Amino acid sequence: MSERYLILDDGTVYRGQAFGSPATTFGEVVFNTSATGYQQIITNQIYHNQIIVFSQPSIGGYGIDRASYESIEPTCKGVIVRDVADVSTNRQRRLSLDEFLKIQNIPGISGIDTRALIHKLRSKGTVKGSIVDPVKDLAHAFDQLNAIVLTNQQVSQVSTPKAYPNPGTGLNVVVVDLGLKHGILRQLSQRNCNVTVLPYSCTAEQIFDLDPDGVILSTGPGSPADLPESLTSMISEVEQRIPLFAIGLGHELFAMANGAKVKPLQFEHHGDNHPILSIITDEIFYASQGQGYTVDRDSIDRNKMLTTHIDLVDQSVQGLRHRDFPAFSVQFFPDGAPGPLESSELFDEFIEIMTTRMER
Amino acid sequence: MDTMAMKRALTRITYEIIERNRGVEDLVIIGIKTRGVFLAQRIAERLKQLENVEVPVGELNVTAYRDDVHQLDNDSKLPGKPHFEFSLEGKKVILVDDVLYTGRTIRAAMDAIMDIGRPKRINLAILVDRGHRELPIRADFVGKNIPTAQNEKIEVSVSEIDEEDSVKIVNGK
Amino acid sequence: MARTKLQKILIIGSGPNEIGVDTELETATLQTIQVLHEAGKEVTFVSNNANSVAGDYLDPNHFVISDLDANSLINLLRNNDFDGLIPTLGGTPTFQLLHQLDEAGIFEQLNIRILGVSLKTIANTQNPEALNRILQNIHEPYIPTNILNETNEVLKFVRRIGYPVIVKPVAAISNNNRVRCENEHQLKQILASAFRISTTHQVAVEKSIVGFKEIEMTVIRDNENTRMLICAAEDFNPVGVHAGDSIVFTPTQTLTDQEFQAIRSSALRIAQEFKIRGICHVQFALNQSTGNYYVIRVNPYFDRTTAFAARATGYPVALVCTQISLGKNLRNITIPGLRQHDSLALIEPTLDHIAVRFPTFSFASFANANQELNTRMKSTGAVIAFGRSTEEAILKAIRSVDSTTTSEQAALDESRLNEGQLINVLVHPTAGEVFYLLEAIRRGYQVEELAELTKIDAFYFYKLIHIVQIEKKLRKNLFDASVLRKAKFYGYGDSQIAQLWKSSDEKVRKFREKNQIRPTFKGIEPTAGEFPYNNRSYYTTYETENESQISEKPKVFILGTANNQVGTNAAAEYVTVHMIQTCRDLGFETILINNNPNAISILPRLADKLYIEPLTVENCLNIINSEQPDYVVAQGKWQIVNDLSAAGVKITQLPLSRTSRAENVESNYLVVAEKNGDKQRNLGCFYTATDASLHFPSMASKQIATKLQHITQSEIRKQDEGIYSVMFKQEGSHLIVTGTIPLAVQDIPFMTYALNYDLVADMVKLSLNYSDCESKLKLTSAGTQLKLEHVFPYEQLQIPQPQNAPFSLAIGAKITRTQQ
Repeated sequence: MSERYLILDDGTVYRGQAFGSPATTFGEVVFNTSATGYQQIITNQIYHNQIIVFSQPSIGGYGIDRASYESIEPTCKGVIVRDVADVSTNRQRRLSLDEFLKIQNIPGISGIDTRALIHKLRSKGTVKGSIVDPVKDLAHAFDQLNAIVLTNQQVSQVSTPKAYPNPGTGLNVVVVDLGLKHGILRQLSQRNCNVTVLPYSCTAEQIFDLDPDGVILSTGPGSPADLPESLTSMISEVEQRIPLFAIGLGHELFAMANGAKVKPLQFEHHGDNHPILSIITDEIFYASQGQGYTVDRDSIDRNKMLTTHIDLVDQSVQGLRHRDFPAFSVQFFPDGAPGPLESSELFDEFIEIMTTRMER
Repeated sequence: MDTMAMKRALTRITYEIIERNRGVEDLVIIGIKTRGVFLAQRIAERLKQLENVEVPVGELNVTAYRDDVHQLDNDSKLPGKPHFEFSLEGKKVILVDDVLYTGRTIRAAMDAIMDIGRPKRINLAILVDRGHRELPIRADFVGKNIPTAQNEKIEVSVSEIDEEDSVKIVNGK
Repeated sequence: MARTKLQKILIIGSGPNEIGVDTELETATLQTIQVLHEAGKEVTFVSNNANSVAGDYLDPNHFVISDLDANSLINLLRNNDFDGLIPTLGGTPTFQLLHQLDEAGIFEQLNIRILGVSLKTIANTQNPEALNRILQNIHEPYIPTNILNETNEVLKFVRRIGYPVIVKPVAAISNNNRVRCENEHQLKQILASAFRISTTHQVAVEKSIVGFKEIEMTVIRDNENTRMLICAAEDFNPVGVHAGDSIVFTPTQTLTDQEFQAIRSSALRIAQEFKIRGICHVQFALNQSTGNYYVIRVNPYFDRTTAFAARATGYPVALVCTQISLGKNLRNITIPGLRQHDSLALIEPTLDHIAVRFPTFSFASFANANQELNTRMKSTGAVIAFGRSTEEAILKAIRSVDSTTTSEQAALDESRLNEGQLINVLVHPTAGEVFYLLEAIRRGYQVEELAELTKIDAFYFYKLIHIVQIEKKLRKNLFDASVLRKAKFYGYGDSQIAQLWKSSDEKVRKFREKNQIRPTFKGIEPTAGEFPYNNRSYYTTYETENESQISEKPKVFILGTANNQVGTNAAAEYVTVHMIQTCRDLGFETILINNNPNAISILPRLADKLYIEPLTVENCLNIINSEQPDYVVAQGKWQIVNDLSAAGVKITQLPLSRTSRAENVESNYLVVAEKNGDKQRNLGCFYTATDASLHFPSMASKQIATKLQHITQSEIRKQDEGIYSVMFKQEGSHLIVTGTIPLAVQDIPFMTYALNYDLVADMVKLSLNYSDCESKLKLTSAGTQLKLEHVFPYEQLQIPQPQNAPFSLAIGAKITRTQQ
C-alpha cells in the first residue's frame, strides 16, 4: 500500500495509506459514528462532496454487499478510516471495499488517528480537507485546498434527471428525488407501493397529473437554502391537496415552505445513537441521522405546525406536522440503512393516512 | 391489529382531530364505556403531549338510552342520566368508541349527550369500523376499516383492562 | 397489597467462584450497593463466597454469611423485614432458588417485591419450553424442539424443521450424548436405538444450529419501555463452543447492517415482551447462508456478557440498571463522565475501538482433562484487550496470555504438531485455538479451507493472515524501523518482536525509543469521540494523540493480577481492591493496570485511573514513564515483578505468598502474626482440619493457646517485617512448628473477615513505611464458628477430584458460619 496524506485547511497533515482510487480529492470533512453499515454510509448521496471519517475503527469486514447500496454511484469525495479490512469473500463472491472504491473513483486513506481527527472536527466545526499524494512540498496542495470552492449545487448533481417508475400494486406514491436514499424506496416496496420518482425540479402540476395518493420528499445533500424557491412553493401547493411525508433535506424544505428557518447545526449529527423523543406518544427511540442543518425551533409558526419529534441530546427539532393538512416530516432517516428500524413505522403511518383518505 | 398498529391509529386520529378542529379549543372527549373510555383517555394524553392542554374526558354509559335494551322489570338498575364534570354547552364533542357496527350505540350516546347539554358539534372517532350499519351514522375518524361478515365478531383488547392491545376477528358460532 | 415503601433491600450473591462464575457479579453488586446507598436505601447482601468484597461496603449486620439454599433464605427473609429483593446479581442459581421460594409462597406472604425482573419472567426465560412458546407468540424465531415417541412423528417433525437435527433419548438408561443427524437415513438408524434406551420411550429432537454464528446483545429497558442497546458482541467460535470459551469481539466484525438491525430489533422486542426493568442479555444464532437468526437464550440478569459490555463500552451498566430498579427512567438518569448534554444515559454506546474478550485456561494443572471445547465451559478466566484494529486487539489478547500463563494454557506446542494432529485441533476446537489457527496459516492453509474446517468467519482468517504476514516481515527484517513501526501499529508487543528478532525486550525497547515509536493512551468511553468525556480508563495504541492527563499528585501504580487463575483466584482480586483502597486512604492517586474484564478492581469507585492493558513489561514501563509514580506496588512476587525489577523498576512487593498456605504440610493450627519494626503481635489463631478446611476461632484449649502464642512470638522474631502464617502440628501436648510463611493470598479474604482486621491495609502500610498508623484489632463477637473450604473445578472439567486436592488448584472458596 502506498502512502498518502490527508491535509486539512487549518494546516494539519496526517500520514496514512492509500486505498480505493488514487485520485486527489477535496471535500468537507465530516465524521460518522455508526457502528455498522459502512457501505450504506458511503453510498448515501447526502455525502455528496464530502469526505467521510468513520469513527468505527475498522471497516470493510464483509466487502460490498449487494443489498446494501443506498445509491448505485456514490458521490462522496473520500473515506477516512483507521483500518480497512481487505476482505472480498463471504457468503457470496463480493467486491472488496477497496475494489469498489477504485471502480467508483473514490479515494480512501487508512491508518489515520481518526479519534484525534474527530476531536479536532468537534472543536473546529466545518473543515475542508484533501487526500493527496505524498510530496515533500505540500504548499501547492494547501494552495489548491484553500482555493477550492465547493459547489452548492449538490442536489442538481445527484437528483435523477428523468422520472422513473418503481412499480408496485398498492398505493400510488410520488417520490421527489433530492438525492434519494434507496432505503426509502425499499420501505415503499415492502408496502407494495407503486412509486414514481421525479426529479427535484418537478412542479406541483406534474405531481398532480400523476394523481398520487401521497408524496414523499426525499433526503439529500447540502443546504436547503441553496435550492430554488420553486421547490418550497411546490411543497406549499402539494401539501394542501395530497398527503405528504418529507425526510431529511425534504423535512428542511417542508419547514421552510411553512415559514420556518433552517440554520447550520453547530455539531452535525451523523450516526445512529441519539435518543429521539416522539412527543405525541412520549416514547424514545433511536434513528439514523445525517444532518448538517436544522430547523430553528424558535422560527416555527406554532399555529401552522406542530413539533412532533426532538433529539434529546441537543433538543433539536426532528419532526414536524402541519396542523391543517396530513403533511409531516422527520429530520432523521426512518428507513435506517444503516441504523435502527424503530421508526420505520412512520412509513406505515403514511400508508394509513393515504388509505384513510382513499376510503373516505 | 397489534399494539403498534393500534398506537399508530390513535396517533393518526389525534392528528386528524387537530387538523379538523384547527386546534383543541372547546374540545371535549367522551368515551363510551367500557373500552371507548380508555381510547378516549389515550387520545387526550396525546393531545396533552402535543398541545400541552388538558382536554376534558368524560365517561358515558349508554345502556339506558339503547333502543334494543328493553326495561325488563323495574328492579334492573339501569344507570340514569349521565353526568360530566364539565359543561357541554357550545363544546365540540369527540365521541370515542372501539367498534362501530350497527350505529345504535352511537345513536344512544348522542341522545344521552343531547339530554344533558347542547354541544356545538359532535364528531365520532372509532378504532374499528366493521360495517353493517342499521342507522345513517358515519365516523369522522376511523382507525381501521375491517369489513366483516355478520356472524363474525370484533374483539378489541386494551392493555388497561385486558392483557394486551389488539384487535381480533373472532368467528361467531 | 403492594408495598409502597422500598427501603430495605436484599441482594442475593452468587456463591463461590467456579468455572463460569468469575468476579463479574461481585463487580456489578458493588456498583449496585453504591447506588442504593446513595439513594438512602438499607442494603443487605447474602453470600457464601469467602472472597466477597461486598463486606467492605456494608456493616457486619448487612453482610450475611449464609448458605444459599431455600431454607436458609426463608429464614433470612422471615427474620428481616425486607421490602425488596434484587435477583439479578447471583446468576442462574439465584433464579432456581427464587423459583423454590416462590413456590413456597414466601414473597406473597412477606410482601417482598422482586426488582428488575418479575418471577414470571424468571420462570419463562429459564424454561426452554415456556421461552419458545412466548417467542412463538411474538413471532421471534426460536430453535424448534419437540419430545416425541414415534418414529413417524419424528420424521414428520424433522421434515418441517429441516436437517441437521440433534436427537437425544429422554431419561436414557445410560448417559448418552446428543447425536447429530444429517439425513433421514441416519435419523432412522439413530431413532431405533434412541427409543430403546429411553426409559420413557421418548426422544427429544431439535434443529441443530451447530456452526451458526453466535451474537450476544446486551440491552437495557426502563419502567416506561424505553429500550437501548448497550453492546452487540460477536463470538469468534460458532455455536457448539460455549460462549464463555469463545473469543468475543465488540463491535460486531462481520455483520451487515441488515443482519445487525434485525437482531437488534429482536433483542429490544424481547426486552419489552418480558417487561425487563434493567438488564437483559439475549443470545442469538445467525445462519450465515440464509441471514436468518434464532433466539437461543434470554438472560435477564448480570453475567459475563453484561460485564464485558460494561467494560468494552465504558457505559456504567449496573449503575444505570439499579436506578431503573428504584423506579427512575433512562431519560432522568445521568452518567458520570459525559461532560455535556446533561450526561444523558440515553445516548447509545458506540465505539471507536475494538474490544475482545479472550478465554484463559488452566489445563497445565489439569493435564488429564479433555481440552476440546464444547458446550460445557472450561476456561477458568478471561482477559479483555482493546485495539484500534482487529489485529491489535487479538495480538494484545494473545500477549496477555503469553506473558502470564503460557504454561497454564497447556496448549500443545503448536509448531510440533504433525499435519493430522493439526487438522484434528482445527476441526475440534481446542483450548488455545488461536495459536493453532496461526500455526495453520504459517503452514500455508488458505482462507476458504480454514473457514470450511472451523466454521469460523473468513474475515478472521484475513486478520490472522495479516498477523502472520507481519510476523514474517519481522523475522526477515531484523531491527528495521519501518517494519517495527508497522508491527507496533498493528499491535505487536515488544516481547513478541524480541522473540522474532531473537533479541531481548530491552534491545527492542531501546531501538523503538531511538526511532521515536512511542505509545499513546486513548480513553475508553461510549461515544466514539463525539462528546467530550472525562476519561478514567485508557488503553495503549501507537497513534498520534495521547489523551492521558498526568496529575502532579503523589501516586501509586498498582499491578493488578490479570485473569482469574486457579490458586490465587478471586482472592487476588480481593487483595488488589484492598490495596487500592488503602493507597487512596493514604492520600495517593491510585493508578491500576489490569485486564480481567470481570475484575472488581477496575470499578470506577476504586482506582483513580485505570489502564486496561496486558500486564507486560512494555506496558508497565510505558505507564511508569508517563505517570512517574512514587511507588509501584505488587502483591507478592511473580514473573512480571521479576521482569520489571530486572528492567530497573523499583517495586514494592507486599510480603505475600502467591502459592498457597503450605499444601502438604500437615498441621492443626495456624497463627497469623505480624512483625512491625521490633514490635510483634499475634492477630489470630485458626484451626486447620484434616479435610484442609480452615476454622475460626481455633477452639484450642487455654493451655494450647498460650503455648501457640509463645512459640509464634519466637518464630516471628526471626522474620523480616510482615504478616505470617505460622503452622503447628499437635502431637499430644507437644506443638511442632511445621512452617512459617508469608500470608497466602488465598487465605486473606477469609482471615480478614474472621479477624475483622484489614490485613492487606496493614501490609500496604508496612511496605510503604506508614507503619506508625497501626490499627487496633477489633475482634467480632464470639458464638459462631467460621469455616473456609476450597472449591475446585474438577467436576466441571469432568475429571475425578483427588483425595487431597492441592489448594493451588482451587478456583474459589466457600465460607460457612455455624453456631458454636
